[in-house]
Amino acid sequence: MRWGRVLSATGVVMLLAASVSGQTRDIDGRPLAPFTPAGKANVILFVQSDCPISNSYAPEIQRICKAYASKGISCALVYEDVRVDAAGVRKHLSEYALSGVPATIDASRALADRAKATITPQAVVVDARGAIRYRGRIDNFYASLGKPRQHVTEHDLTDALDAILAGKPVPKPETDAVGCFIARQPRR
Amino acid sequence: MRTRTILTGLAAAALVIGLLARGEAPVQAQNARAGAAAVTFAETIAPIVYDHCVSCHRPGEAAPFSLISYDDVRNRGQLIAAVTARRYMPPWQATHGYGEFEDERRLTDAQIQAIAAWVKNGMPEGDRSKMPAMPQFTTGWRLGTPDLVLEMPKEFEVPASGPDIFRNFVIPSGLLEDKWVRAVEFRPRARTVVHHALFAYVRAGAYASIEGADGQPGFRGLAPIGANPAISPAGPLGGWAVGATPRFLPEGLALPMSRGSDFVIQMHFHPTGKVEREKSTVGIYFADKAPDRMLRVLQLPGLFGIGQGIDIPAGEKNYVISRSATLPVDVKIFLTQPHAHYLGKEFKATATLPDGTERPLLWIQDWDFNWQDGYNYKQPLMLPKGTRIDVRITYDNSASNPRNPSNPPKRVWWGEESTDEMGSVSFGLIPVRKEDEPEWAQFAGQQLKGTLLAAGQNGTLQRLAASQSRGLLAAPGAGRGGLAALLGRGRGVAAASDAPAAGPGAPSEPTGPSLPAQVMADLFSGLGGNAGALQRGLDVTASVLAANPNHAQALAWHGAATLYYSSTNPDLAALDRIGLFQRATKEMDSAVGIAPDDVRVRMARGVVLRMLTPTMPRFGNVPGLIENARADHQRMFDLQQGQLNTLSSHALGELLQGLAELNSRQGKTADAEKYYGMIPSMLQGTDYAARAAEWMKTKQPLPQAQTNCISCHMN
Repeated sequence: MRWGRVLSATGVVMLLAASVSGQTRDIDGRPLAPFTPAGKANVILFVQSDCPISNSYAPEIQRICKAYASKGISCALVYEDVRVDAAGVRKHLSEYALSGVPATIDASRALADRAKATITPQAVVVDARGAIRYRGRIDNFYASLGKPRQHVTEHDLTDALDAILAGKPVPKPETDAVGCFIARQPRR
Repeated sequence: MRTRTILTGLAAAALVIGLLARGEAPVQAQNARAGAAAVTFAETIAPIVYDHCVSCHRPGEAAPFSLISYDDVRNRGQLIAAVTARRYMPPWQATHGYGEFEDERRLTDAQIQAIAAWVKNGMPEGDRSKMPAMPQFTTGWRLGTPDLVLEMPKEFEVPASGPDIFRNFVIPSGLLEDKWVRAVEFRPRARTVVHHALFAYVRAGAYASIEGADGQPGFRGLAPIGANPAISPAGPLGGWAVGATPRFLPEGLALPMSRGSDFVIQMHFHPTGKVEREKSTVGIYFADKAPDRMLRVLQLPGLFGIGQGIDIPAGEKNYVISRSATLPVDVKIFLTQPHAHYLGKEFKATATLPDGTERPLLWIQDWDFNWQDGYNYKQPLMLPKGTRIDVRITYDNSASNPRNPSNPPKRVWWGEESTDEMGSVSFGLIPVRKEDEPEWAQFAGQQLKGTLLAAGQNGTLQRLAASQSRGLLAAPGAGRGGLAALLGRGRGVAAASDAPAAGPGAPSEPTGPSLPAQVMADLFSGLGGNAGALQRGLDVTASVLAANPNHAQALAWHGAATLYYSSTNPDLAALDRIGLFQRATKEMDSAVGIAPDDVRVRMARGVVLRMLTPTMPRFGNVPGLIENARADHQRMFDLQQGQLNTLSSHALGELLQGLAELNSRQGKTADAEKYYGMIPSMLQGTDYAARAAEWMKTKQPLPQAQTNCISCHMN
């Protein structure tokens, strides 16, 4: 948390020591660098396997990641469960039919801290230069906790991705995500 | 009408609320104000969570995560603080203090403050030795071993995503005799995906033509099941919502369920992000005998508001419907149940006693269709005759209503789809005195008639008939329609769509669907001398005929009621009497011509002629009328010959006795003897057997029976 405040205060987001560099490994042991996309942008999706709102977005996450893969935008799933192991994540991916997207477990909350993610599901979009261009909800399906809409009327994440692809400023770079809180270690 | 509330109690124990009321809450409030240093999990938070959360938030239950340990609760602490502060959890829609309800799933302000303070203070565990014991939960049936267990024959697949699904499943009950249901306990398998369920019984095979027609088990839609008069015998059997505690009906009350009927479950599914497969089980608990009293339902406005002319402009933020009724007798109200679809916003129901005192009945300020709860009053409400009940329901059809099912908003009428609207508040009650039952029945009949007439006048029925709506008001199967089909297509509508769509909803018989049980009850009661019921029967059949002149049952019964009226009303001028007599017999004869094999058509003419011919003045062809009555009875006998043993003793007795008596009156002693002769063995020990024995002594026509079918229908 302290690091998060320092980073936001200085505005320096990249070029730091390894522990906060955002370098990690996915559940299969392959290196994963969600903050340094190989293509035009990377969508970091903070999720939790036992958060119903996060889970209800699984089909939409799959749809968006698939649709934008051919446009040079990658995705990464970051599990923010209190307790989950690689086997648990694999089971979750299979149950919710999520495929083709690397997944990692953020047990230390280093990735969430660096992205300033507090909720699942929450999307953070990093562009090719490593700048965070969008942080917030995937869309406005949930008006608030327990109040789902019948129709999604704002597609904030894909609006942001389309803006990045078009070389334009993201219309709303920050929105409020609705979902479950990411539990940090309690202060003793 | 839906009375499911009675069977759904709500989670969280009343005991617990009593406990808190005895002094824990103030302590917590002090703790919260004092900076919460003393708020620990063990002493303050665990009791709240155990009492109000874990009935659902535990493994195997409907809630998405468990809250049974300190770690569970600490990990969700922020979320718990957020949802309790908004009063989204525990889910409870009724406004606190406006009506006193059982099992109120609600935290006190002090409890909510204590949770917030605990989270803010780092969520300390405290002294483990002071932890309360984890509540014990029954793993099996909560009401004990059911008398009948039914399971969905096939599982239903709920997709990973998409809109909410409303689906009805039919399970043959296999009941060999009529039963009385005290409770239904529901056990869904895929608990996270099933949000609520309604139960009903319907005539066997009533939904056979649409069940599974789209390749999946069951059939779609959220039209009220068990409320469709066209599939009678049918009736509601309660319901279930997430968090509900199954309960027996109060005071020994029970709901009827017919032998051989199908049990129907209507389920509301929320896709969860992954494919789920549901195969529910229900346990049914029967009463040993018929209950002394029947639970009555007062619904305001009636039939889910069909008579209100609901027509909400697109964008309208505050559309209001309201309805009042004045109680005709003293009543005792046990429960209430609001209902609307996604646009419903506020419900308010108030009773005003004759002395002007107001009693709060129910107030919901932000209706959420997803929490379909019924509310049981802690103490049944005793309301005296002359009390006025006012119900007011508002709707928000603006784009700023996130629940609006249409984007952009569209004009919304009354209807049964999730994009239509309806609205009512139902009350489950009994008249305080049993002898007031007939007066209540008459009042309920008038309410129903008024609602139907209004729905016909404001065009709702015609619009529904034209739109082939299915369910409460339309045909569940080919050849049978609901009220809308019953009332037929309005002429204007028919002209506008001169090629009516074929399909499951389209009546395939020109003669139309069966008259509802309520109308039949009025007609029988009317032929027994109840002038009000006779008038209602005449009005309803006349309105049916106005829309569909070839509706055979309506024609036959309108004729029968007219004949009775013309024969028994002393104030009629002779010429009027003759005119009515001729019209009535012509109507009945035409009906028999249209539908010679419809038992109810034959019954109308046969019963009224058998009853009236002995005292009929001589200006008509009386022997011809007696022959018609005999032919009608003979045809009813032939049509039902293979199933005589399934008829009630009353129906069978009237049929055999009527057939025998009419033959005897015609001098056909051998035929009379044949049918009188069947009575002793088939109806042993009844009045019918006694009368048959009486006839056998002389083989001459007996005087009119004192206990004929009419007197049995007189309440």
